[in-house]
Parts: sequence; structure tokens; C-alpha cells
Amino acid sequence: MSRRIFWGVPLPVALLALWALAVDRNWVRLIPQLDEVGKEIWDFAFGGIHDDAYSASLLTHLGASASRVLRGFAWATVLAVPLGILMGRNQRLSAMTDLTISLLRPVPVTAWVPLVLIVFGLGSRSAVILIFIAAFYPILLNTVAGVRAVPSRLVEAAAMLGTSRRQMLVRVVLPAALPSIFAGMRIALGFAWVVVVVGETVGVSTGLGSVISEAREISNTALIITGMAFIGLAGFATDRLLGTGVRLATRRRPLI
Amino acid sequence: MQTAARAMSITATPAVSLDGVGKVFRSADGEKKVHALDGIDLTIAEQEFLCLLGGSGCGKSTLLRMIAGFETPTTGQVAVRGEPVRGPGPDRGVVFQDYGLFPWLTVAENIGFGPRRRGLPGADVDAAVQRFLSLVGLERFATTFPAQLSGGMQQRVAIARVLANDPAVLLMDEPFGALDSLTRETMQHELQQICDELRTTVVFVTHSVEEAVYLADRVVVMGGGPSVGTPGHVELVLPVALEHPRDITSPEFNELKRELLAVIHGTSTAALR
Repeated sequence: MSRRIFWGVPLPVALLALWALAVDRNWVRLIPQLDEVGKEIWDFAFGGIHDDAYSASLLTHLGASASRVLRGFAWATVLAVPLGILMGRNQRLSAMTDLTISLLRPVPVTAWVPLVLIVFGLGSRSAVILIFIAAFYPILLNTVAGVRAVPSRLVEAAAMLGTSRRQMLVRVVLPAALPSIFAGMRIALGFAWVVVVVGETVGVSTGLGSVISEAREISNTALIITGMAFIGLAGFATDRLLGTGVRLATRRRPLI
Repeated sequence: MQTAARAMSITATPAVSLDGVGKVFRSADGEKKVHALDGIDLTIAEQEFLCLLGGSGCGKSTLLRMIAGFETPTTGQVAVRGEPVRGPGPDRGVVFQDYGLFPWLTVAENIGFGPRRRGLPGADVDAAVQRFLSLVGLERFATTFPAQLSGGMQQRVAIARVLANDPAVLLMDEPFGALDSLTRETMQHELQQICDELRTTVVFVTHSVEEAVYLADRVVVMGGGPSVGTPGHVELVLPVALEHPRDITSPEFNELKRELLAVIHGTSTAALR
């Protein structure tokens, strides 16, 4: 593990050095120097430098964004996993829903924004609904694929051991499909952080997305980059948390 | 008086009866038909060890899968202890060539899976697990996961798993086919001891003549199949009345082997003509 971290460090350091060099030599314009961004990050997190509306406001904004991401993601998981299991096992349900899903899925979340804002109004709820829409499909499709790929041998084995239809879903199909379901959840969680920024660009006053769009209005590039940095860190942290949660939930059992 | 009558009725009913069983497979578009089996009549007595012997494509596995309830016969009827087979059930334990163990469950949990699904109380499940763990000699591996075991050990778990359900008949589909020959011989010997001890009824599918003669009370040689052009059918039924454990080098053993090989090669040379 430490070896992996060791080898991972040089590339970001090199990229930061390249940034500093590019600004120093005026290869790029309007990009602030590293120390300026560093101060902004410190001020945003702990305050005491600029003493403006954004000083020491990290926890407020990060909390607002994370709460929206987790709510949208949780709703998507709670609805998409059971639906995906049923669709994967039931030919008729699958035939009934396939067309609808295939038609709705290609609509980008950005195209949903105006409609969601009109129907649900400006505010947190719209952001959560947009995240839900974005997170729903990867979880659903991965669950269906995982369920369809459950080895028929395991279903036969369970059937000849006296497993009822309902027990089959819980005891065999769900555990056998877990790796695929988790893969879908991971993709969905990544999408959720993308979409929270889109959702917070309009009509909310808290959240990292709103910080970025307000910073653009006042042309504060350092603050824009600060917002971006914390979204990246938050996405990274939740991805790791999900991975750890999965390991704890499966109690380190080998999966298929 | 009542128990005597029950004992009578049990011995009178065969463990498995196949009555004019045939199977036709259709391709997905319904255009092509494959006549896999035709007119199979067989009864398997309680406590009998029966081997279905034949080359690939003769329908022996299909026959076993119909007893298991994974396939439905196109014609005829399959009954276990007088009850017509409708789908798979815990009275017919199946041992697959590829084990079919649940990889996320430990050895003990795999063995306890059947008893648990049938709603047995926890203490009874634990007792069954302990009993069959020691029967197959895997007490030390109770908390091991299947992927950490050798093929032979995995197959022992699979055997213990179905025996824990106390099935009317044990259905084994080339169970030792994926094992190396030394492990296979050990497994054959152990299986015979287990079946003698528990008086289990077994239907065992194999393409090895030696395996059939070593294990079976009765060998059913099957012939035909799509490559031959006739549906799979019973070619010969041969009782094997040798003492356990059998000496595979004895003249009697080899005489039976010779007899079976003659039938099998007879059918395949007939196919070539």
C-alpha cells in the first residue's frame, strides 16, 4: 500500500510544478499562482486571511453538497437495486420496462435541469432529484447485468437444496450479483459528484457548486480552483468510504 | 403393526422409477429438434447404487437432470418414492462435476445451506453440519472458503452438502470427472464407504467403465445420441455382484469390464457403419 502511494506522488507534484512554471513564465493568463490558491484554500477551510463571505465556510458548503450527493445516491440505490434484481430475474418485467429505460437513459442530466427546476423549484430538492436521476441508471443496469450473469449452476444447486423462490433472490442471486452491483454504485457515486455541481449552479446559496458559480461571477479564479479541489477530494473520500463500507458489509467474504 | 405396514410400502415402492421417459430438445426458434432420449424404462430400488454408463451425447446426463427436476420429460414420467417429479427438490441431492458450491459461504455454511433453507432449528443445523463434516473428513476446514480447497476437497463438501438434506436419492453427474486420477480413486473408495454406511440410493453418471464396475450394484449402459442418429436408449443392464471394496485387478472385475467394453464398442462401431 505504502509502495503504491510512493509511486503515486511524483505525477501530481510534477503537474503542480508545471502549473507554477507556466504562470511564472506567463504561458497562461488569468490563472493564479500556486501560493495564491494555497492561501484561498486555507482561508476557505480555516479563515483568517481574507475575512470575506467565504472565509472558514468549507464545512457549510461541503456538508450541503455531501448531504445532497448522499441523499440522491441513497434513493437511487434503494430503488435501483431491488428493481434491477427483479428485472434481471423476470423476463416479463424486463420486457415491460426495457423500452422505457432505453428511451429515458440517453437524456443527459443537464437536459433534465430546466424541467426539474420548473417542477420542483429552485433549491436543494432539485439538486437531489438530479443526482438521483444520474445515479439511478448505472446502478440499475449493473444490477440487471450482475443478476443475469449469476451462474446457473448456483441457482440449480440452491434449487435442489430446497430453496424457495424468494430465498433464491436473497440467498443466491443477491450475493452472486454483489460485485456488479457495487461496481454500479461506484460509478453512480462518481456521477453524483458531477451532478451536484450542475444542480448547485442554479438557485442554491450553499454547496461547493454554488461557491464555484458565485466565484465565477466575481471573477475569483483562486476560489473557483479551491471549490474544484474540494469537490475532487470529497469525491475521492466518498469513493474510498464506499469501498470500505462494502468490505465491512460483506465481512471480507470472497465474492464471485 | 402400523410400522410394519409402512416398512412394507416403502420397500415395495422403488426409490426412482422412469416410465417411458423421452426428451426432445428444440432450438430457440423451434425449427430444429433433437431427439435426446426415447423410451427409457428403469426402476432404481432403495439403497441401490446405479451407474449410468455411456459415451458423450447418449443422454445420460439429461436423464439425471430429469430425475433432478432441472429438465421436464417430453414423454413418460419420472417418480421418486412414488411421487411424480415436479421441479428440483431437497429429496434429490445433486452432485455436479463442477461442485456448484457457494463461494461466499464457508464449508460449514455450504453444508448447512440445505437444512437452513428447510427451516430446521439452529441446533439441528449445527448437528447436521458437524456430522457430515466429519463424515467427509473436513472438520479442520469448517471455516474455510471453497476457493481455498482442492478439487477433491470441494467435491467432498458438495457431497456432504446434499447428504445433510437426507435425500431419497443422491444424483451424481460425473462428479469425479474433473479430478486427477489418484484423487479420483480415493474419492471412489470414500464414496463407496459412505454409501455403504448410510445406505444411500445413488444414480451415478460416468463414462468410465472401471468407475462403473467399481461403484455400481447395477450398470446401465446407454447408447445412441445425436452423433449416432438414434435417440439415447438403454443398451444393456448388468448387475455387479462383487464384494466391497472391489479389487480392480481381480479376474472377475476385469471380466465385467470386458463385457461392458464389448457392448460400448459394439454400439460405437455400429454407429460408424
